[in-house]
Amino acid sequence: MKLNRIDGKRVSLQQYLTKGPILINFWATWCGPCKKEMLHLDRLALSYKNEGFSILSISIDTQRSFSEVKRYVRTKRYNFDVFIDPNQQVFKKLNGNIMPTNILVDEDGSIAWMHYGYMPGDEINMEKEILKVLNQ
Amino acid sequence: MKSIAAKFLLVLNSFLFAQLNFTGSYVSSFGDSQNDFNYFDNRININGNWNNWNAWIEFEHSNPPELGLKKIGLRKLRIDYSGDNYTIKLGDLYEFWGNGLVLNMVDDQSIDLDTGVRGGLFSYFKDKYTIETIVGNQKTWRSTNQAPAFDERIPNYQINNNVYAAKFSSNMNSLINEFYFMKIEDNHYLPIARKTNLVNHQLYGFNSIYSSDVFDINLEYVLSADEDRAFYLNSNYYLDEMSIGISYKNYLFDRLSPYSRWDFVNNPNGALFIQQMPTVFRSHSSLYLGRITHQIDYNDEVGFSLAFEQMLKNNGSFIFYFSQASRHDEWASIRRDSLSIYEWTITNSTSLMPSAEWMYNPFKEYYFELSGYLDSKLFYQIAYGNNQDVTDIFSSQYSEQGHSYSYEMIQARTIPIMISYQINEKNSINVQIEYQKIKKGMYSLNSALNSKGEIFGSSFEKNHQINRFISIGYSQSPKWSLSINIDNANTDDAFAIQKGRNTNFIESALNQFFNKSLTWASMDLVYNTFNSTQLSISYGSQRGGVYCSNGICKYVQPFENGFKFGITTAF
Repeated sequence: MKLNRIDGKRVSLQQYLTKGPILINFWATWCGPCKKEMLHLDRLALSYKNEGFSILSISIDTQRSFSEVKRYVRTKRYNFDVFIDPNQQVFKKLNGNIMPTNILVDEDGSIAWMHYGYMPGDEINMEKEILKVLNQ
Repeated sequence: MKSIAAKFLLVLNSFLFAQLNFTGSYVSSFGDSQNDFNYFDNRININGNWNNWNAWIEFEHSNPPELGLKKIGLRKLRIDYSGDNYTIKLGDLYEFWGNGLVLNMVDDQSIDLDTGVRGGLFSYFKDKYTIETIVGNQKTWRSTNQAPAFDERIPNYQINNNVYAAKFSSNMNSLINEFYFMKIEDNHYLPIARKTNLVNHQLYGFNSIYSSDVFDINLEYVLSADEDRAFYLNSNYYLDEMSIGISYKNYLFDRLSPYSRWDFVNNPNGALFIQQMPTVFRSHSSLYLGRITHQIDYNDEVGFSLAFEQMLKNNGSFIFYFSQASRHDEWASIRRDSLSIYEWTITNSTSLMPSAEWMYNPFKEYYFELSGYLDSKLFYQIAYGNNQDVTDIFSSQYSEQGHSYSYEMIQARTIPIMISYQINEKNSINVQIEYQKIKKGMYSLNSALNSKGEIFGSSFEKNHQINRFISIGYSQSPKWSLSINIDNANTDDAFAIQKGRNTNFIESALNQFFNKSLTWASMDLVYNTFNSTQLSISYGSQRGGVYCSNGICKYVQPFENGFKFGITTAF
């Protein structure tokens, strides 16, 4: 699977999986809970970076509000790579239906955990799942 | 012979032992209300991949759907094959090129907008160059009062376009250049004449993106064979923890009078539905700001936006956003002959910058937002929005006595606040409060009675409408959340056909605080049974109104005293 990175480059998912497990996070600038979750995603990306873990944050904002995504992400200086999926093809392919959707993929490409929505405290459960995959 | 057999066995072996994966999701929503806003929507998406092959199938059983046409059966189907340097797709395509000035296929079920194309795509890429072609047919349904059986909820007019498009792009480190060509054969049906005309459109486009660590710029220009045009520019500057952004749009595909500006049925030469261009105004997460979103006119709009974002402590940020837009022309009814026939005519124009004068349907928005965390436990987002939008021009006439006119304007001030407090590892309280003061109505002046000056006639029973929204929720991660939502107004639309309504027990209980006939209350329960399965139950009422998604707006009828159930699951 190939993704469109925010800098205009097309990047293969495999490129990240060779380093270790990945967490795919779907979000949008109009989604309040998604933005709340981002602080925690940033911390998790930084904490487990050395173990080869990476977070791929995919915005499903349409192309019509793409500039807002760029500014939001660059100002916040997150420790994860941000991609765009304006016509929601990756979102549909990975069965995302609710915002935010988080999918944890282990090194061999299998889905280890998936979660719809965000409630404060979900990041604790998410971290446990990441550690499970990293310790396998 | 042995060599052929060996090759055959090798291929067969790779077929049999290649990994075949299937994943899917099921989304179901059911609604039953006292005002007959009933629906039962079911969608199953199945994705399969096998070696370099991918398949996507979507089934739908919606009878009736929440929005759109009833559908039972296969909705979408696509098969893709990706080689080392090429991709082939056959079936339902959803592609976007550049910023969508030429081509942007979207499937937005929330507003029943589907601009997808059924056909084929071939893409070949080598080193830094890509060539892509798309051939197919687009069938899109829209609601319009220019065709029989108009209903905001059920579309009544089909757009039927044959699409032929080609793209060439080069990707040089920090510079991307793209060239586009698209030909559309629009099989355009005219309901009054009861005939179909073939209308041809040809678009030529260029898109360029330059990115560096501190600066990026993107410009796109599209020209049609009829010399209609669209230009979009976006540039951002990043300085430490601050960013400044400028966006500019200048879309001119058709000059239409105030009476016919939204009539795409009898004006087939305008912007196409496959062109979903940048709006150049902010998409809001606030309920009330969403309701007054400016409706973009892709045929005729010029505007810009300025954005400033500053990062604050604890992942907080301050955002300032200003946007302004208008149409290119001032229209007035001019007397053509002695028979007193008046015709809408362009009397003045602006070409590069938007006008603030009401004759140009101006729109303006200021938006401030402060958000962040306190001790990682308290999340806050406080915003203020100030909007002004001339939505309709009913008349504009110059005579010897002066200028007589009437137009509708919305002026609104909105304060949305969102607070979330994490009590402990699992439990949290979420509060959303919104306040909005709207002045909406018709401004008119009759020059023959000039002494009275401009008259304002409110659209509401009072001069202003005050809206208040409160949502209080409690959630226990990762299992469930419960919220109570109260949406209240101090006055109703003066022209509302149906006065009064059925109230539910929450509205009756709150009657001493909020007038129950102007309050819409509901309770929502969300329960995560497994990690990838979510159930939702809602009881109560939801106010009707305009629902917008990125500048495309649709009226959604109220939902009164009913239940909604939803299931979303991935497998």
